[in-house]
Amino acid sequence: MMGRRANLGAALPALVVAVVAIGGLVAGPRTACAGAYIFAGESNPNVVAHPKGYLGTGGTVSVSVCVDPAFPHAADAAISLQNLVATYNALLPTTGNLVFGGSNNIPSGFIDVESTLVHEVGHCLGLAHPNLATESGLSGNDRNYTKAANGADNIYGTDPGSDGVIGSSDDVRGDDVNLHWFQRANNNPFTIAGTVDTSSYSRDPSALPAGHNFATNADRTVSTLYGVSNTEAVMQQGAFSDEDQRQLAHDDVATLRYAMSGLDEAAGTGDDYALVLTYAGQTSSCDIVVRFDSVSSFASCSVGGSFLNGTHVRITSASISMNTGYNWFFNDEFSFPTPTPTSTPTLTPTTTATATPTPTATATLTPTPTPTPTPTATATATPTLTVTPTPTVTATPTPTVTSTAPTVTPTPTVTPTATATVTPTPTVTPTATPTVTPTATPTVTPTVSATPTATATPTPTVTPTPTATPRFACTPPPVPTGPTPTPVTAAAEVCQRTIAKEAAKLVSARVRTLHKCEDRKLAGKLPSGTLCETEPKTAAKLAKAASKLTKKIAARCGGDNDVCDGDPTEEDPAALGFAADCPDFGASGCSFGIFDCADVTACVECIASAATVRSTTGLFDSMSPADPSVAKDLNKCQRTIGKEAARLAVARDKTVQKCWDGRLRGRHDDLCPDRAAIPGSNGRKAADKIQKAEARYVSKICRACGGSDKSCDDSLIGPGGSFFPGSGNADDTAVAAIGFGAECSDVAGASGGAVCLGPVATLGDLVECVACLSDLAGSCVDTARVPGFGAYPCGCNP
Amino acid sequence: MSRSTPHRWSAVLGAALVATVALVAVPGVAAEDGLPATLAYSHAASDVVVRYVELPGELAETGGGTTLTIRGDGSATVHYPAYMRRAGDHTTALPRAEVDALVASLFVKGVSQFDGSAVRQQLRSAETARAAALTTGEGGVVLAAVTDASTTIVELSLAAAVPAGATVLPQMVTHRAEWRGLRNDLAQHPSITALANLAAARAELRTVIDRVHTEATR
Repeated sequence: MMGRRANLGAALPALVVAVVAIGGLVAGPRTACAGAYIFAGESNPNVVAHPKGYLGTGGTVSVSVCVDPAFPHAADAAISLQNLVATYNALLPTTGNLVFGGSNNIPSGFIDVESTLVHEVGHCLGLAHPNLATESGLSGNDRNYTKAANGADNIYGTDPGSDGVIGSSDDVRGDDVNLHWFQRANNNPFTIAGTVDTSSYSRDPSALPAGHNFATNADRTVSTLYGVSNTEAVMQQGAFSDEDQRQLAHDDVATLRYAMSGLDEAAGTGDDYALVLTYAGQTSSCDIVVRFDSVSSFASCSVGGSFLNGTHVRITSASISMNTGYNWFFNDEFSFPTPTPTSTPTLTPTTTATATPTPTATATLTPTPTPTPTPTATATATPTLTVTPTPTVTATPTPTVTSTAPTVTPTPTVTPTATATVTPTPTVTPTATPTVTPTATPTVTPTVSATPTATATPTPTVTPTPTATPRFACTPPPVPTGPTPTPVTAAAEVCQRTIAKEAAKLVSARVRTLHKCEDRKLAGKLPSGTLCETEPKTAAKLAKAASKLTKKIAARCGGDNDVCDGDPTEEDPAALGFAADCPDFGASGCSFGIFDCADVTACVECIASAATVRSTTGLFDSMSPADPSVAKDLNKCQRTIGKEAARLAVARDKTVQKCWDGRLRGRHDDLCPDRAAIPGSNGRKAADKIQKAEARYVSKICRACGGSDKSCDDSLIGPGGSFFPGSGNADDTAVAAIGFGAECSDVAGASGGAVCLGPVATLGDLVECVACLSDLAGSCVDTARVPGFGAYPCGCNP
Repeated sequence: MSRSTPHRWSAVLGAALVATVALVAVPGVAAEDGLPATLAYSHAASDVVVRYVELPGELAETGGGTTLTIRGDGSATVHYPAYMRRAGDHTTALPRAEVDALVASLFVKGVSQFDGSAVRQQLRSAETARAAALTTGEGGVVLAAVTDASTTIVELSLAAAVPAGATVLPQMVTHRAEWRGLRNDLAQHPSITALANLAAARAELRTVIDRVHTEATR
């Protein structure tokens, strides 16, 4: 095939200057980013760049990031910088990392500072654009071809191949010199090998899989070929307004991890290092200084480097300039990368191959160049580590390909902030059975040899670097896994939806009402000894909410007479998924038999009441209201805790209800919420929404109670696994002053459970405890009202 | 803006253009007082005389970057894309004398003679020489780069040269000077005159941008 060529012509912008060989060293005084690693170029394509601080010996390489207070926006950028520090420390390979429009918190016409900084910090750590980008001198989409030097003819090859997609494996690039490191097994930048080093990655085109012309890059258009839409390496040049790209993609993580394999480019040897970023705050003294000025270009990183040896460079200086002339959006929410299922059961030669028919038979799985199986669900792990469970991929015709349990290779001990505890303990709690839905049938070509007993390395994706450990054993309640109830009639479906909806409404109403009462106590408007459940105004509201539940359920489930009186026309509780007995909640007396819809109503109401009372009293019982006229800040802190806890509970309740309702209507089969589901799915949407609420909850409380810096001292992990970096200071309002108890009592009862049990010594403990209590209470009510969707969490009634 | 350019004009023209450029008096195109007789540009409102664009590197929006467009009738428009703080189009009228001076200044700064290939070669030579001289103790060389640098584009449309006595209308020829990473390259190599001149032209145009914005929003 004849390749189309883009002639640079005379008027094109400055090209990067090729480095030159001097005295046996491939070097030069200046080059722009010309490869997957900065400072690689045509004469030294194999250059690998390392972050500042790496000297060729193993250990931890710590890189501090700060924002210069002498320039604008220093305070505005603080949260984004802390978020990106957490992002790089997590090194989570993510799909679906492009979040657009209404799905993100960026106003239209604004450009996300955090996303831009994630990109520029990548450069400052030694990464280059995976695509040709503007430094090529090319224009338009041609910039999206995979990073290369233009070869002896000084002309880039720009033929997109038969698929017409620029940056894909069939691109015809003439004599271009590839600079993009690719996975030997599959040339798929949307996956990552378990071990990232020279055994699994290469820059040499001769190592490409058979049939591939060139290294594939992780452009958003290319991602659609692999069934992972809305995904792009953050290092790919080309950002847009109203676009959230704050999480690293597989290609970004692989490039960083390849460098972390050290000078010998072999993982597991003595020169490996762990990369740890820290946020140094508002100062001009750190490894990567960020400045907002009016003279720079849009955003850029000025980086200096020097050679460690012939092919390894270390960064020696780095600073980021951001131009103030743009509509920058400063994220004010702490967040943490939420990985999508990171298993990519791609059929590649590195997947365990078994079952060859004869002892001497050999088999190589040759996947078609593009689509790979798309995992639709994986596992939910504890926040410390996300590990792909054992996905099973079956290739046709034979052999069967089975990826075995992933190899967990946590990186060495990492301490991202002064207070974060790093626990690379591979505690894995797979909570869902992975469902793999191949989007293409891999082609098996039984021709290439492999020893019959060989067990190749599987290609799991491992979340390598946990950055903090939750203080509590706050394991999310078991995800419901039971069968979806299938109402036999439309009326039954309406009944079922009504129970779920009205129960959710009851929970929200009770939370709001009880918290309002507690807030009035804190504000000094009610005596501190008031028992809110019996306070007249509050009790009337609670009764009204309960009455509404009863009426609605009776109207939709009560049969011909619209009364739940046991008449034969009523909907059968068993058919709706209800067990013979109400499951109770923390020995609250909700353990009666369920025979008709009146019992269903009573059961749902009983559990909702018990859960909301426990989660409320668990929060306020030991709190000593501060006199607002004397201790205004402390009082504000206390009230904010109560207010935000209520908001979080209500947001969770509403979100989960909406998701369950969709499932009850047959619109999806997702779990609600499901953090491990694919982006865009109902379960994932619910999880994301809850996570946003969680971020607000933490942000507000830390702002109100976090002292002068308005940040919590400790890094936190929320119930859903969200990570919130701490300031590392020691100016939080003391727990004792707030009046919170020293223990986070189990919402469902003191005996057993222990879901949220743990000491409450710091504000961080308190924040986590309250969120945990709220989450557990919500989960209990969730599964009580839609019992057919799964088992009742054990923590609800220990 | 300085009006002392004629002297310098003469020097430039003497070196490069005198032999081939002549003043042609035609409607819509005129040589102004203070401009060399051989430099002419269209006075038509439909013709763009000066265009300056700063394209951000990392941003892929189709709106491009800040753009200044000065037409033959002196109207100057600054376009800020929607994602910029000053988003929108701002227009004001520049006095003819000011446009003359700006055109002359850009000409003097070499916008119409800018040769990107030659400058790149100059840059390579300078860097090679510098590499040989530098030592850092770690492999002997220093590396430097600026990522996602913006691209500066300055276009100047002048009347093409026509032989003396010709009766045909001169064609407008757009000269384009384009450079990526101007600020950093100049900082690294201040001795490269072409880059210094382009940076000076850029600074002058940014002054015009600020003025247009100020007047348009007053």
